[in-house]
Amino acid sequence: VSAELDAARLVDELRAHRPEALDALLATFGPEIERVAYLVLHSRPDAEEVVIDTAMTAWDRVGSLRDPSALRAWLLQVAARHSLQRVRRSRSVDPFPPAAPLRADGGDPAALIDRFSLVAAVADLPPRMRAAVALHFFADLTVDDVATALGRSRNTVKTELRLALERLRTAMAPEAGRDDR
Amino acid sequence: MTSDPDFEARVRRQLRSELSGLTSSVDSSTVRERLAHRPRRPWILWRSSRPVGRPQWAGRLMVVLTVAGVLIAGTLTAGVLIGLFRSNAPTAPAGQAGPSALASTLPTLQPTLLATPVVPSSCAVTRPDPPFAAPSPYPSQPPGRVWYGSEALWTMLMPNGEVWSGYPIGPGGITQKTFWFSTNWPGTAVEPVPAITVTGTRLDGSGSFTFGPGTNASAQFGEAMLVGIEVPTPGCWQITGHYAGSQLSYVVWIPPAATPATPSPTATPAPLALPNPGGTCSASQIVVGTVTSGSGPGASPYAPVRFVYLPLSNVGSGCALHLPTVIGVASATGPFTAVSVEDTGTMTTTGDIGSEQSASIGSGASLTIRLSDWWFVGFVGATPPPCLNPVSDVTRVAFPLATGSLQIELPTPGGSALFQQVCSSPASMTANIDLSGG
Repeated sequence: VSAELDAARLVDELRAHRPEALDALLATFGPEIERVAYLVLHSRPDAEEVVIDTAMTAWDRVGSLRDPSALRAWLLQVAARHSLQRVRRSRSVDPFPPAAPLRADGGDPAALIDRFSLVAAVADLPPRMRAAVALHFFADLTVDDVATALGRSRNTVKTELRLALERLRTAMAPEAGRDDR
Repeated sequence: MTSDPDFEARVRRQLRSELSGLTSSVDSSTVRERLAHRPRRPWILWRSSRPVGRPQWAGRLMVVLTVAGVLIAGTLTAGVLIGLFRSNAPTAPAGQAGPSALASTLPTLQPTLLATPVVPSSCAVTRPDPPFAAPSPYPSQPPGRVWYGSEALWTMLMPNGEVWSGYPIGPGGITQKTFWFSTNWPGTAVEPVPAITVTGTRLDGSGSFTFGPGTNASAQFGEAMLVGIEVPTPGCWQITGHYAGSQLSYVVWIPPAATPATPSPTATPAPLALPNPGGTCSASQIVVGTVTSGSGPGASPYAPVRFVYLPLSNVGSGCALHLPTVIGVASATGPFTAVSVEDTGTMTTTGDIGSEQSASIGSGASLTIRLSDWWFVGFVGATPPPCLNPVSDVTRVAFPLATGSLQIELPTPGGSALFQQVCSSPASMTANIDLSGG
């Protein structure tokens, strides 16, 4: 309930174009938006641009959001679309895997021998499939929300998610003997 | 097709773990600065901006064609402006983008567009007088055209009336792209697939069509909702856009120069043996209600998903209905061909309602089977395998039950088959039971 109230308050403030609403939006949703964008784009600078694009869209278009409690899903949907638009505009993506901060290896010897990155495996998927994985498996959006975000039918999204899982399973095959972390 | 909740859970956990170190350094001052200095759109001509991956070759082709278009445009007279928004390629039905939307970025060279077809006096084509003045950021009038409508819904028309001549012929008739605008449309970023429909009614004969939803397009002066339509026959047509409770109509004349090909006579339908799908329902106890149809965007920009809802009522005793793995499909007069049906409803994921492959249907109860086309789906980013034994213009389905088969006539929106090509291999159809509709 508290989260819903916070979302409703934030939507009201965005609709009123209060500058502090942008601070709240970025603090609350910025990291998650950037992670979803990163899964699609594999580029920190591009992902940060998507955060900016998404915040600008929220500033302009939050009035079209009928249910304030759906703010998070709506923002992530918008972020996915901006990410895919960015993929299409610029086919050049940064080399992957990116810099170390994405891995929580630390000094754990067991982690140091684990060189597999699921994020890197996601990078090998087609862009829209990456977006579906980011929204559904990372951000826990429903299939219907993903379908809305990608402008695709529900069944098509389900198919893409199934194919993505198959590909990730293949990529993770060498990991099969290890424990889940 | 199986699901693996454990593997899904592992994927979720690992993605979160690997991304946990990624934090955002974007601050609001950056956003405010961008908002204050946002640039105008740099695009010159209409460009579809559907938020899906377009094949890389299409992107390169767009660059080549756009450059070619600019060079050609420089050599043509002002009359070519008439064709600025036209396409030589087949126009996509609603929900499609891809090559046709891409081609719309080019001026057409078809001489028929430069001629002035005679419009019969019986067809009162719409001439916007005075034109509608579009709100900001749109210009007061678009290049070479005039606005028509109101803020709730407007379009752009030729000043002297719409005459659609020399346009490509698609499976459903003469193809055309229609552009619509509304202050109620929140734009591409929020509603990339606008919930707009376009209907057509022939005024000097019989015929009608419905297409939708739309896709989006952009020009230097703003965004538009784009709906590709196929007009079944030449003649005098009333075109109507429907969006957000508003509608707008105009009348267009389509000269009879190009008539869509008529289906060739085909053989007498032949009986087809289909495997028993299991369950206990017999065809004699199931009554098929009014079949409805629709379409939506698909995995490929070239192929929207088209679907039908088959409402079934059980007039006998309670029984178990299992969906078949093979059904029969046929054109209006052709023989039935067996095609595989691939299920997409068994994957169980968090928050996913899911669809069923079998259900109990009590005496007097009803449920709905949803049947979709499948071709291209599943081959995203890769070349699809060849379509073997294609059946064109499928308007009949034989749906086997434990005993007997349901023979179902499918709707033909706009006079054309909903499933224009069904392949016997690989599986090109899906079916699942929509219990929520029961």
